[in-house]
Amino acid sequence: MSGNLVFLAGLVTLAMIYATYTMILNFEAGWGGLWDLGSAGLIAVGAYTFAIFTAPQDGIVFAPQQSLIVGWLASIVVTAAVAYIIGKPALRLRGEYFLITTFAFSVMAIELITTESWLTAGSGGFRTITRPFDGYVGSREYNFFLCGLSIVAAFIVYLLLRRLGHSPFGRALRATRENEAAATSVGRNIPEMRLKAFVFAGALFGATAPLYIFYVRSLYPHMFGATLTFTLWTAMVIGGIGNLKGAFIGALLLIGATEATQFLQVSVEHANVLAAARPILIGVALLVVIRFRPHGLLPETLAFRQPRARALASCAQEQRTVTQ
Amino acid sequence: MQYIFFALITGSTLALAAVGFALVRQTEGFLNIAHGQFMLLGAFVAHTLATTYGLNLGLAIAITVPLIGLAGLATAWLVFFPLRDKGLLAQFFSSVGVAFIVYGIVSALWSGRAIKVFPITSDFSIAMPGFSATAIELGIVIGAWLAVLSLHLFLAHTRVGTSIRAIAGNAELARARGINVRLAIGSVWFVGTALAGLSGILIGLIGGVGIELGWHYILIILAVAVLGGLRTLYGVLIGGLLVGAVIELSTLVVPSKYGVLIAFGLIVVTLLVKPEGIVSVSKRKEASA
Amino acid sequence: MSRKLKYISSLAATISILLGDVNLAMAQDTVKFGILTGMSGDYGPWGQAGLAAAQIAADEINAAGGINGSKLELVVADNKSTLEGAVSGWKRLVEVEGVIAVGGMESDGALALLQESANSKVVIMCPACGTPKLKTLGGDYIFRLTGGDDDLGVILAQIALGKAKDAGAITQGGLDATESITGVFRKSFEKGGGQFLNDTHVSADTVSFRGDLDQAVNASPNLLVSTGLEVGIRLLSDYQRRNYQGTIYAIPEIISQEVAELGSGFFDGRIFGVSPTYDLESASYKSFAERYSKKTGKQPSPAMYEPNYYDQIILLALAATAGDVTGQGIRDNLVNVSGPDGEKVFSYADGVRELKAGKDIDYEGASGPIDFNEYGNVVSRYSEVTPRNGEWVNVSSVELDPDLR
Repeated sequence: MSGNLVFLAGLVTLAMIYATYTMILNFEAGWGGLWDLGSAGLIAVGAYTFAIFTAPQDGIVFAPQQSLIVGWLASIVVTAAVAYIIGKPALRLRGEYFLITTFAFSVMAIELITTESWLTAGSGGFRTITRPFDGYVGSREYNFFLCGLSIVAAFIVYLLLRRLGHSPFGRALRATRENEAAATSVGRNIPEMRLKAFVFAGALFGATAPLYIFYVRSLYPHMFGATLTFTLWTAMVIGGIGNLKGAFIGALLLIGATEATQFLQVSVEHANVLAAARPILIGVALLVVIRFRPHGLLPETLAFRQPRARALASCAQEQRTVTQ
Repeated sequence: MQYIFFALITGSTLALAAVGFALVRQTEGFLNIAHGQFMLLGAFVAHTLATTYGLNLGLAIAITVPLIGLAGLATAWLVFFPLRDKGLLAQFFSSVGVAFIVYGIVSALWSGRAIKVFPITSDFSIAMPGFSATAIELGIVIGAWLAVLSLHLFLAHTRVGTSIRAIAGNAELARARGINVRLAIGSVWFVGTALAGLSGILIGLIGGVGIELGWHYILIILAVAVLGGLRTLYGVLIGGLLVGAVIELSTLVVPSKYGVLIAFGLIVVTLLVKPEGIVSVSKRKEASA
Repeated sequence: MSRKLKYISSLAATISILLGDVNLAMAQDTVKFGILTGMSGDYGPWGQAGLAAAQIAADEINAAGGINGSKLELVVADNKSTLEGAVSGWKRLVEVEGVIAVGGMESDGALALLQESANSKVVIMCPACGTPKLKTLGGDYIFRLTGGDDDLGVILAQIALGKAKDAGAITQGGLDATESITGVFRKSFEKGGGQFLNDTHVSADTVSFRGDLDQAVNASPNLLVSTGLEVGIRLLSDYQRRNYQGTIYAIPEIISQEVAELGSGFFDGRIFGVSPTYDLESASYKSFAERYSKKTGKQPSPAMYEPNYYDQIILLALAATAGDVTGQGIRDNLVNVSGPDGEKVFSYADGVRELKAGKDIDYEGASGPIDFNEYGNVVSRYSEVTPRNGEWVNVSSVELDPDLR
């Protein structure tokens, strides 16, 4: 039975990590209306910064071998800085143009990580990751520690974002998404607000990126493909764009469901059908939710008791205008 | 010279793949991510017809292309039409859902080996010092541009084509003028998806198709469409040729490991400098053309 | 907040009840081996082909009376060809299912779980892990049925030196395996007196490699193709279409049926590859190929590593029979039953008979003689192959020349 608990702890850890990222995405995309398709790139930057700062000298030029705290702070600062570098020019674009730009930046980040192996160990990757309190507890017990850590991280991010969502800044941010002209007319500096939101999301991605590599215990460029970004977006759409709890629940359901398909016993004859089951499952879930619950399982209106904020329709409106 | 021909081959397939995507984007307004998966489906269906059923390649293509068009039409009718009033984000994510489903179906039906290679042997070729072109390559370039030309004729000189352009320009106005919107939009989906199928086959002919084709190409198609400007089909054709040229010619200048970096860097720069694309046409002009 | 806690705890309760049921359903006298491999995603074709081979091995073991009278059960987990999937699949196999060994693993997953396997005393068996890192890290609880990418690079250089004095390479970037094979090839080729002229990197995401290929051929028409199968086929199609004249050296990924049929004769005697199977003409390979095609209706293809997937299960079972039926028992006996000393055996049934008679055994598998060194790598033996009339045929068996390392 304790074996089951170890497995369950692993499952919860993974689900919490995804839930954390989905909540951050919800902050920038759901509330801020910033269609960021480059989350995987930012997470990669955070993870690599942490690994480079904390790893033992291992065939790379720059290995300061700092403590975990320094690595963690570096990860936050560097990721936020990269978000600033991307956001500063890209935020002039809206809707799908912003989406493509952030995606292109993300691809470029991964390409650079792959080619510049003197700094990042390239495609050979990091085989070991320095983890907090590793060795103080047994390796099975560590699963529970990591699980606790991920729950705490998810909680902190949740509370932080909820507070921010109800703050004047959060309300103004949602207002810029709903009606740009009105927000400007009441004296809001919209470009600056968006940049702040984007950089803050970057810092949060940087702060939580190490968790992901604690879980997989190694680091390769291919871990941060488009699949990661699309999984986060799918979780957010299913849960309800603009609703923090929805993002959390959506990620939990998505990870729970895909991990559950593991338990279907694979036979030789049906291996290919089973392999196809996961994409079809995700696809059908998306279609059904969008068709019958277009605001997700938990619509944004539940989170903020104020007249009908319609995330989908308003994003659509915005997309039609390319503002310089 | 040789490299310019290389660029022409790559550019032509890219332009063909992107033009169907841009057609749907213009009339329906959202980025149809499932477009890449219909390329995959087209290539695999044609491959099966040509190998398992031993059909002549031309016949296999002639059967597959309208079949994929119908599949696109059916998908639009089942998924996208009911979502029309739910906004573009809903349609965009539904197309991601459709992409997952088509990808899943293809990987369930055609399992096993990683890549399908079409059984073709080309004996004819033009070869001179420093330049060569084979029949299949010429066929692909000509086929791609014939398809583009027919699309142009269809849009410019048929009744349905005219209404499609009217809808792309201003849907409300078109409706008010009594244009048959259903027929027009239906044919956009049929033609757009059929073009996806055709381009998938052409790509397969030149080197074989793997199961991940759809995901790879949709990214490049997005790039081409954005580069060309999302509001004009002719810009997309130029965008395709340009990206083809960058991919083939960049190897002459920079180490090839930076190829992808350069291509995406180009997209970013274009977007930041001229977000409306390299060929920009004002909306008014497009509507009246 | 309390509502959220309630969500989590009820979810946890549901899942643990589900898992509990799985355990109850487990019969008492079965031995479980896990197969943790990519059934979907990039490695899907390899995983699916390999599973069939592993299942043949399990069926034969059970037909021969199982492991010490217990039935062998293969529990399969799909890692979706991701690291995340490997970590979570491992937890399920080891913690929930209670397997004593896990086969089918890929390089990055095996490296990530290296520590884990020693801690939980569960043997990891890699049918095809190439990563050079395992060269010295393996041997405790981790074993692989291949010599690794650095040996491959040396062997390829050996073959290339026999054909021409100059060579270049086309390498698929972003992959640990392809990059390290090219690196070693270059070093060994130069050590052997050859001239390495050019290394062109291509990315799988690019839609065309025509320009890259032309550049590479202009530097040297004799090319090492160190790419995945899909990129390789696109490159080779173009190589033929442009009618380039040179010799191609191919890594095992490329040795597939599709490539043998490609170009209807153009590549016969022009591509030379290394097959991870020691000898395609050997009796044990041929007998395996026959059983495989009877089960699946398809011929095995050397590039898919089916014989290695088969051998890993037989070896694990023999090691378990020779000692305790635990992970530790397997680890203690694996090197021993693999040889090179002892009575040569070619099947599980033979092996069990000899073990019961108190003899030392040396398992000779479908993929080769299989003798482990102290680091859990098999001693490298390969065969040089070339396409002829749409089939890969043996040119010769190659022993690694240690001077080129």
